[in-house]
Amino acid sequence: MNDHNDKKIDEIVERVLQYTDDGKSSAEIFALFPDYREELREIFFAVEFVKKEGGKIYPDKEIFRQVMSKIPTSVTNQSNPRYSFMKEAQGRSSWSKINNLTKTLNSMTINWKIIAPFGAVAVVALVLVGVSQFGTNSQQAKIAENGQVQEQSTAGDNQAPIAVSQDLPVAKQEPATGDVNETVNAILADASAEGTYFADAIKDGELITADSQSINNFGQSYYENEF
Amino acid sequence: MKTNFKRVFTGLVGLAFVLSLISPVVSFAQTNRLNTAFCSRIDQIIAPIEQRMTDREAKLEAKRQEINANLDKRRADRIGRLSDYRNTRDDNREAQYIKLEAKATTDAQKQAVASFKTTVETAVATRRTALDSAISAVKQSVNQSIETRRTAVTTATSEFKNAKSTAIAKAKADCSAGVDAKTIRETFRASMKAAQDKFKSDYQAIEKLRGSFESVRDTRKQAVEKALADFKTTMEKAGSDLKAALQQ
Repeated sequence: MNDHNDKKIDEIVERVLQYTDDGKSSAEIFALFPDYREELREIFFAVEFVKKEGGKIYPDKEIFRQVMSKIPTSVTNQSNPRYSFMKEAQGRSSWSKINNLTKTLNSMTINWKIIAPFGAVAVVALVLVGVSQFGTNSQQAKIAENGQVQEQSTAGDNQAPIAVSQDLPVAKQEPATGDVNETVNAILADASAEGTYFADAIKDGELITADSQSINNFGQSYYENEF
Repeated sequence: MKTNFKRVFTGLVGLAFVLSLISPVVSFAQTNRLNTAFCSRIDQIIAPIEQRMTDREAKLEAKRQEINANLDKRRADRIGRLSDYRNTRDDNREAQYIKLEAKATTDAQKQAVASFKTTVETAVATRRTALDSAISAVKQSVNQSIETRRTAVTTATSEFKNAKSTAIAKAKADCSAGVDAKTIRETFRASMKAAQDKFKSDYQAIEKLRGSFESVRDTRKQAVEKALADFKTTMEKAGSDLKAALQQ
């Protein structure tokens, strides 16, 4: 009797849902099933509730777990042997994280099948662009480096000019004693002192090549790797 | 494992295929891009070279002026100080002669002092002449060496600049003629390298021009040493003669 009643109610529910989808109002549907007003009220309440709160409805965790445990592991009757170890690991907390990681990895493996070819092409393109850019940049860097080195050598261009000699002898008024030896020695000392002036004149010759660094720098104006 | 190997192998083959397809395109695009970029920016690329040459030539000229100023100052200072030295020493010798004359009591002794004075003054003058002559010769040699060097350097720098201008003109003409950028660049680099090597060679030859100065310096140094040695000999003999005269 109950089974018959349940089937009857199921039929009514189906028809009510059909009428609802067809756009009939609840009053019209109530009029069609005057003997099932109480059941219809519950059905409409349930439908309205689901419509209103559908996104916020969560099943009880225990019930959900039971439902999920009854679902077969695959759409076929044969479970995937790759995941058989997971059954062994069930119940062990230390394996739960590994299981999660394995699932993630499996998901990534599938993604990589799609991503890898595009990634490889992207990497090649980047390498080619990088080589061309890096080549240019490294050449520029060399130039800059060379430029820096050359500029440094140019900075060294300012050779210390030969200062005016400060060690040239300055004459002193030596006391005249009338002693022949002292007189001769004093006059001989003059000769030695005057020789210092000649030595100083020879030092002028160092200025002949004082522009060597400047000439050399001019010759280095072109950097071979620059162009 | 086998499945993974198959996947890796398939991936590599695919990658090689993709590379073989895109490489010529990338290469052609790269060459074309470089060609356009190179020729459109040729003035911009060459500008730093020209700027450096101009700057460094100006620095070279500034250095020359600095050398001239330094040389003039050294010479003027030396002449002034030598003149002061000699004047002071002349005065000092006169004071020495007066003391010696005061010691001479006999006519022979007075004559000996006068003879000593004449000998010393003649020797001093001879020595100074030799010294002044040597200093003057060194001065002329330095001036000549600097002038010769600068003429040679100016010739070398002009040749380097002309070679650079020629190389730049050639690069621009090649750009207009649509010559490959790599060829233009290599031609320019070769021309500039040859010009630079020529300049280095010229510079090494210029450095050897110092030989003329060194020759004059060595000759005059020997002359001065001889003059000083002669002066010493003369002074020692004059002193010995005077002592002998004053002891009598």
